[in-house]
Amino acid sequence: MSSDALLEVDDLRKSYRDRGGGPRRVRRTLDPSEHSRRPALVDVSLRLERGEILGVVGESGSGKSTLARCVSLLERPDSGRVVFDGIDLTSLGTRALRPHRRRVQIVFQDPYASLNPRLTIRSMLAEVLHVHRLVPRDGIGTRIDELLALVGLPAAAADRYPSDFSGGQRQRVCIARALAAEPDILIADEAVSALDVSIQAQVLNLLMRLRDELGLTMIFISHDLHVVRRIAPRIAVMFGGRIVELLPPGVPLEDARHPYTRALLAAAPRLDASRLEELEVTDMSAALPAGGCPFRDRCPHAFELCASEDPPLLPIAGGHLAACHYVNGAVTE
Amino acid sequence: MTDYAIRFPTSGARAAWRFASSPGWSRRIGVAGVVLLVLVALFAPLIAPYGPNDQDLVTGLHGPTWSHLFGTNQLGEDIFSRVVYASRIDLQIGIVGVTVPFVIGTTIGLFAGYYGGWLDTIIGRVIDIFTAFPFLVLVIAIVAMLGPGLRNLYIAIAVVSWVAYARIVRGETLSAKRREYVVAAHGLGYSGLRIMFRHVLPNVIAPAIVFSMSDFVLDIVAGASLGFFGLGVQPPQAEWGVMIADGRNFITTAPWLVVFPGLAIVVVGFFFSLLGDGLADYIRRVDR
Amino acid sequence: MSTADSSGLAVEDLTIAFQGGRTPVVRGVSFEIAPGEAFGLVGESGSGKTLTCRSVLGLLPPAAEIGGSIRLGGRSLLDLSNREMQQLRGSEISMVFQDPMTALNPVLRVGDSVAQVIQSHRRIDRRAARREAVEIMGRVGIRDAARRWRSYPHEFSGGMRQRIVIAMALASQPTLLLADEPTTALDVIVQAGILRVIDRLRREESMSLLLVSHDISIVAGMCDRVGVMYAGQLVEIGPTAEVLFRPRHPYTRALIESLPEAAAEGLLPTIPGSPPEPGNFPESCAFAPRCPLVTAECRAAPIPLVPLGAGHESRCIHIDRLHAMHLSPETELVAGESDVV
Repeated sequence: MSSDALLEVDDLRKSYRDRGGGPRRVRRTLDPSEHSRRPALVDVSLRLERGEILGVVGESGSGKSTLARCVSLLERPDSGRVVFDGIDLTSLGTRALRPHRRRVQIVFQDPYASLNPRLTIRSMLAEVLHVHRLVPRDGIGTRIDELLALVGLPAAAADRYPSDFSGGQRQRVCIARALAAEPDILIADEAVSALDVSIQAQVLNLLMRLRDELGLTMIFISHDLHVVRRIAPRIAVMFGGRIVELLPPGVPLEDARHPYTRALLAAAPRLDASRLEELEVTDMSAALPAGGCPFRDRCPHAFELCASEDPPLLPIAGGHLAACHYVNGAVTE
Repeated sequence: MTDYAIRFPTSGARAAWRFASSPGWSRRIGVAGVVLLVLVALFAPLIAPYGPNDQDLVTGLHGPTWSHLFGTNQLGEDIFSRVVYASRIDLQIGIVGVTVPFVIGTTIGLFAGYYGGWLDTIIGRVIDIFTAFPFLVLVIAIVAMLGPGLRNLYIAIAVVSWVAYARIVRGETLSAKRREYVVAAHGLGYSGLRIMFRHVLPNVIAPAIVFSMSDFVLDIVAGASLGFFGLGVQPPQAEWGVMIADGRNFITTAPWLVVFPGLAIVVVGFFFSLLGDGLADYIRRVDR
Repeated sequence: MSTADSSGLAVEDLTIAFQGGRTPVVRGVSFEIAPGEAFGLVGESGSGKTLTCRSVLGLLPPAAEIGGSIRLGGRSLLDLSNREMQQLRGSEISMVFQDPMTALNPVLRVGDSVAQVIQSHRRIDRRAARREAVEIMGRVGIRDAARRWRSYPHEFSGGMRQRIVIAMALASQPTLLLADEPTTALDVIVQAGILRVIDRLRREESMSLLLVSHDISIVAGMCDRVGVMYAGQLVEIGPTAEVLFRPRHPYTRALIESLPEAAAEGLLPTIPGSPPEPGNFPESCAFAPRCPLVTAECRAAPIPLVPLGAGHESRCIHIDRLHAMHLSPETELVAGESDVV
């Protein structure tokens, strides 16, 4: 296992007590059976090379946000390792972790909660630059101008407060703040989901441009398939706290094999769908079954093995992996 | 350029002016009244025609006249002058009685709310214990133990009062620390101290400030009550409570001994109350 | 084709304003929904689509001032008293809201919530109402309804709750169903299921449907006709296939081209700037500051809806130049467009 990957995540596990699940887009159920330890991440592993963009697709409760928080060590996983640039972050104590934090930055979903309402944009950005000594004191003003230009905001924006900005503009500020830290990895956790369609396109373009201009390594998380495939050549699909499929660059989503991914594809609203198609998956209501494959209750291809064994993520072809007994069985036959 | 420094936001002065000049008659009256009180206290020697202890045994116990606006007490001391000079002590009681607990309580509440865990549990229990007792009872008990005098009064108030601020700030901090900009600050590798004082504190302090207004009045009343019992400021020093205590034997014969200092307390309370209400409204409307 | 006398919905010149008329948020909106037809109202935030939908049921805040007319089957809804409107709600017109959690009474069993709707409009005893409720719950796709009617809302997931809300909406066999972002809070697969239920039942019951959404793709699959709203006005309206695949308004076209699912790779074509806030709507074309085809004429006077045949209309004077419109990925906010400086 070569160690030149920028990020290596090994067998991450994380569970939550009480309300079942970490940050979510929608709180779906107060079902008492979910009140006990609910696994948010189960044996998640992945590698990220420098300059790569990884897309993560999943619905609420899939663990995608928990993954973002564990990878950036905003929360500590229960077990597993996060190795960043050769350093095992999970083994570091709180104080030792601090100087490394700036190298992995997250842009969050809600532009209205992500900025301190009492600080001007200049204050926020200057603080990042100062705390991490990224720029000499007399260079701070220039750097702030650069950062604002980078995200497409006028220089005059620096002396305003967040309340003066719209949602899309605030997201740009969040991106500027993240970039101010000169991170190696930028994680966008549903960063465009709360924006209007026309603004979404603007911010997506911004991220894509930054990817190209700065060579940023990115993890782009969204529930929206179309958005993810636009920006990320490599896509991980998450369900029930696991990565159930990994599509390498060059393999389009239409060639996905895992039943859940196929269900997502069929269900995602498309402009050219003349009428809603029939779905093989119907009841997504119940809590996930314990043991075995988490998708088995909803899967049209489930058989006995699915109930007893949690399918491992295995290669189908090249870098294309899927965690499904049905798919992998079909391959080995 | 100290845009990134950890310090209390000094937009305070500008904000205070914006508040003071915002519309609303009761608010403006409150501000004006408080300013007036402060001026009276500051310029007492210029306003009072006599010293607080200038005795004129000949004109003792006379009602209000032109030369003694509020009358004189049994020692011939001019009530008006005494009321004016007393404002210094009473306002001082209010200021010290608020500032010290405010700083202590806010800091403790901030740490407890932000770090949680055993620290929060312990502090939470301490707060609960203190809250079980009425404020005045505790203050009197402590002063009774320590002995009378202004200094002990301050100690007593500080020991008892911080709890209210801690409770307010702790509650606000618990919810504030979940907000995404605090999480982002954490993700940017900022130290706990920086996050607490620069990102959390300014956003949680408003309710504490509003509370401090009513706390101010409470402290003055406490000082006056203790003065009344002889546990606070000692005669012959002029303090409203002491004046009322001294005059209580003369209520029927020379009511002005009691009425004017009592009115002073009421007036102070009134202005601060208006100010506090106005502040609460203003913060609620303006807060981003 | 006038639906004024049939059982369809006819909205004419609807205007909604706040602050004593100073802040119009819906301006002169007109559309018709024939009986059994599905009509979609699409727009971004601030477009006025939600208020338009709510005004049909009289669910606007008291500060709102309404002008124009709304007729259902020839009957004017704006003239109804509160009591008459109350009778209409949940019987002839039903509504499905975005958040299923607040639509359901948490202390009632779901079966009783549905039964209550049935009972409030007909003389029927509780047991019979419950039986009907179970039947409807089955039709909206709640498996094992005979047993699950006893459950409480918190025992269901978001998608199931929304199905119950739909069951309640259908329990009275309304002629018109209003759905305001019914699936926005739900996951994609759940969403697809809900939309299918609404679509199937609509056709089984021959109900009219007014579907409001910011997601144009949802509307594409569900509706016969669609109206695109911008800054409180309808800027384009017509048969769905026409509007979406042969858009005749720069905004519609730009919106569709900026969807992430749009064809080409690489950067998305974008519309610079952002929609105007309510209260800042100009009298002339509201899209002018962002439009690649803008001319001085566009800012001179109010732009009327131009009929294009086959029920297709567009509020633009440069329709003939649409084919030459080219959107590019914007580089930065154009100064003057941004509401900061």
